[in-house]
Amino acid sequence: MSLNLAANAPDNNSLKTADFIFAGAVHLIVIVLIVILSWWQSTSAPDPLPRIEIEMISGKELKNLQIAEKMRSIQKKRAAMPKPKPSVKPKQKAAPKDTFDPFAPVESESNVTEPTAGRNDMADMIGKQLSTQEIGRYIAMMKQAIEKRWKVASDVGKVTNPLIEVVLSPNGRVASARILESSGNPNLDQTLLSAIYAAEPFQVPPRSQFEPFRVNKIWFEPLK
Amino acid sequence: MRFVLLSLLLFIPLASHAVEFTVYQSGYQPKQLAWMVETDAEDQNEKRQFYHIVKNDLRSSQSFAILNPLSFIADPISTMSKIDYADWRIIGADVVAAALLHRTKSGWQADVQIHDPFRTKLLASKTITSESDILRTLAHEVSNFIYETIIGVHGHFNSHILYVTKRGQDADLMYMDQDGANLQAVGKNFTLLLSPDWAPDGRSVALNTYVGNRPRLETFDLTTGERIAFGSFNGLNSTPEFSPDGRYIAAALSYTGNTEIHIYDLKTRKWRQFTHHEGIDTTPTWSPDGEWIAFTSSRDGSPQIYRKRVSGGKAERVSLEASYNTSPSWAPHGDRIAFVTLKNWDYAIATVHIDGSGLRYLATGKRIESPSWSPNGQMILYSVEDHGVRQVYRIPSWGGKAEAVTPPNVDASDPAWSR
Repeated sequence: MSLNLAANAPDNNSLKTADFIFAGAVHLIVIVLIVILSWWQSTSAPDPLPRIEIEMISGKELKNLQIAEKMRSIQKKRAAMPKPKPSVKPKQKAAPKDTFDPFAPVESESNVTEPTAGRNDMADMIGKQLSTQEIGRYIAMMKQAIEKRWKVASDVGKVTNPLIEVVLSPNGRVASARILESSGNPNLDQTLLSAIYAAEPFQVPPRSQFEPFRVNKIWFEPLK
Repeated sequence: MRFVLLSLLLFIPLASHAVEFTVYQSGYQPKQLAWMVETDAEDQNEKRQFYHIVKNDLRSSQSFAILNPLSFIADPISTMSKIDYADWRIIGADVVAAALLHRTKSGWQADVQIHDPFRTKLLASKTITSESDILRTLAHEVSNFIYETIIGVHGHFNSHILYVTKRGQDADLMYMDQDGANLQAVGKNFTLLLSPDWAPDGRSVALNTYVGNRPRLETFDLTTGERIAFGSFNGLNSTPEFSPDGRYIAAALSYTGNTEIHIYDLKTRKWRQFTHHEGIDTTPTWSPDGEWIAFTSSRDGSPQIYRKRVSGGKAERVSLEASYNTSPSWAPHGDRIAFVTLKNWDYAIATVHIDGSGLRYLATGKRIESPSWSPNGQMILYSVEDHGVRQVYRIPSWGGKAEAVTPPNVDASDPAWSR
């Protein structure tokens, strides 16, 4: 066998360059094929199933969220405007990212020291607006906290839906609560204030995103 | 300058924006009450008695859940001198009520304080005295004070209940405090006794009894036991009810050949016919302002509740659902009427607004009858058959749990709550 091969070798010498070209072409084809296939694979991979989240909100909330959305787009436009002097706030990029966890346990101390204190500069505020979903989540948490503590323990008769304005501090405590529209039953109105004070401190966004939650208007709907 | 303007533009919308949402009432929930009493060392029995009367009153209203005193961190004396609200928030007390009870020359005195730990304020404080050596009335007064401070309506804890006990052919009129204490027979050996109704002054009762086979309407004096007949016509004489001013009694009479509502004037001692309809009209009940009478009528083919002005006019239908609605009882606060109805195939006690809206079922049961409101409109008494024996139950007018108020195994029906 080895002799045979040696004998054939001179014959093959003339094919050497064509052989190289052929080998190169085969390699190229294979590589191109791999690239095409892998590209095809990546494009034709099925999209992950879209996650649809459905949130039940009242008409008032919807309107509210739409206002928030509108406001945010206005703020984005404003942010895109040329900045007057970048030297005014040189440290804005150094601010660490917020690691706020909305599912963390509620703080129970009144003298909570704000971890984000001192960073509520304007750029931060604009840059880190809460998404509609996040706002919805904070509202849901407030709502649940009040609902749980709203104790109606008697027949209140015929009443209208009362409206309460609650002003919060950035630590989630109630700074003030007042009745904007009475239910018509002073006792029922008192149960609302009791519920609000019993539900504090509220879970609110960190200081940089707190502003929309400073003034809260809460409608109450008693059983009729 | 540009920067200032820009920052103003950015901050104004942020500051004025407010979150707005709606909180829905899911049901009724009792307030968690921390209740405690302190007395002089030699009055430990009185302290215990006083504590339990108030506790039982407030618990039975179902507006309060009484916290176990073993979980208290502070004692009554320190709470009343210098309260630390955090001590009470930690055990979830919505209300803290403390009383210092001590003897006076002629009776007892209770100094009561009521606090809200979450709003961190003293809601009310009061000294309540009693000229009697008996603690029970004073304890009910304290219950009333706590109840009114928190719930905003008068307490009903010094009120009384009448009901009928049937023994063979005879019936007794029974009397007791609203908490079941002081139970006694005030009228004995009636030949049948039906639908007693308190006079507004609480001294007498209008009732329906029989003499021989003939039904008769009488007033019965609760202190002297004197019985005065005021309606003994041919046919049916039934379901008397006092007007809120105590001057009139409405009742169902059938001497005209048809059962109609008539009104008796206690001053002139004269009857006048109130309803004129070929249907059967019975079980009248007055509105608290005395301007309307609600009653059961079969004028639309089935028994339904109607209301009509005392001064006259057209009867308006109140009950809109079910083919059977009877025994109306107008609430003392005026905006609801309790009655017996049919829910699916069960008899039930329900209440409805006087315009027929807001139907609220409260309880069902066999032979469920005779709803009667507490004087503050927060509870309803009724009778129902329980294991073959009729008993009187009560239930909060807003729902809640039904609770027997008469002793078991003794027939009890036709309850009437003092006004």
